[in-house]
Amino acid sequence: MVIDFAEALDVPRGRSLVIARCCTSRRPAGVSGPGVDFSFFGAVLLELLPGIPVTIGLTAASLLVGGLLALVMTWARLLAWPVDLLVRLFSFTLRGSPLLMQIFLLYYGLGQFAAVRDSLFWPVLRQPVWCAILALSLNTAAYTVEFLRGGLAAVPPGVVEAATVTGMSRFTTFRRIIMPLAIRQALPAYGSEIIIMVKSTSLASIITVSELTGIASGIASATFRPMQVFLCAGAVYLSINFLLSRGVARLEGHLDPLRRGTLP
Amino acid sequence: MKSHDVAPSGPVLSIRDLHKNFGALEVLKGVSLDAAEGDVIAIVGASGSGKSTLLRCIPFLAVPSAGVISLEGEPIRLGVGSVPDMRQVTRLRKKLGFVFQSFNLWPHMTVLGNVIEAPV
Ligand SMILES: Nc1ncnc2c1ncn2[C@@H]1O[C@H](COP(=O)(O)OP(=O)(O)O)[C@@H](O)[C@H]1O
Ligand SMILES: [Mg+2]
Repeated sequence: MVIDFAEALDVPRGRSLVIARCCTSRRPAGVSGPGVDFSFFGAVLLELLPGIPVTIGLTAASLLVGGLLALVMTWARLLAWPVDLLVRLFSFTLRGSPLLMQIFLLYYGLGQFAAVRDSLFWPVLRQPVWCAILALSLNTAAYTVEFLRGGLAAVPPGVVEAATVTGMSRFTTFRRIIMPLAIRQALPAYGSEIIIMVKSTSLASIITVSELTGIASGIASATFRPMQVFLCAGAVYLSINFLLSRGVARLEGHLDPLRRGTLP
Repeated sequence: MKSHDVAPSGPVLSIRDLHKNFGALEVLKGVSLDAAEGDVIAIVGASGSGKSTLLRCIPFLAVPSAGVISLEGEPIRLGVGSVPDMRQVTRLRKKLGFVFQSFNLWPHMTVLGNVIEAPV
């Protein structure tokens, strides 16, 4: 077997450069000596700040793209059984394999093919951020489509007949009656999915995306204080998820007319 | 039932020789009925005699096996193999009201939402 090392070692993404930069990242201001130093927490938090919009952005983009994809797949799988089979296969594959491996496949794997490198998608696919968003989107779509399937199964058939008999078209019935009921049913489970997605974005650090975890591990290796640094980063994740879960709880209340404060 | 643009004498709803069978079970064996504006009609029969089936045939929730249903003088066309023109059926459904045996309210909407959805 002949291995073309020139091809195999072709590293067009400047990955080694970024790793080197991570390791030499500057010390947070005010860092000196061992012991519990509370100003250190403040300094780390300050360093972590730019990672927050990246983490939230990765989450929001993936939830948006993945959510839309799941809605489309949910609609399409009702039309014909071969589509349903494809959706099942998609969902099984992406839920059954590690997200980190999917990220590796997209980021490292796709670049292996000249056809991909020459395609018009390459400017997007060569960037770690877009690979992370793509992997996270596909992954969350696979879960969301299952939540929606459960939600659809819980929609009473009579309620759909009632919509039919008022003269709603098939699509209007889907949009105005079936989907809101399915979403309301699926929302508690989807709340967990949102939280899981926030945490999953930390995997993007492995392909050099400078989100919370990526920045934190950079600071940890520069200061040799991993305990303080990762506690800090963990607290930031907790705060984000606290706010998000409160938001989902409010939305759940809003979708239930019995708990909604005022009439629309 | 709305019927402002129909002559008071002509029937708003007319059913002619309606048949409906579920496989081998023949439920409706040639039902005819005229309903003029303002009519109140009671359909009486034993349980399982086909009252609900007759009512469900009018807005095509159940597709009749044979026969003609006309609303405000407009017959619902049945194509090959009794397949109705769904575009026409959807349009005519908007002129009908229907109360189900089990109500079938939309649980994600308020009372007001449930009431105003129908005529929209
Ligand atoms: N979707 C269906 N499939 C098969 N049989 C049905 C269906 N709907 C009604 N039937 C049968 O048709 C007959 C008439 O039912 P129905 O119209 O509900 O009676 P009623 O409302 O007068 O009590 C019953 O024998 C019932 O079992
Ligand atoms: Mg009945």
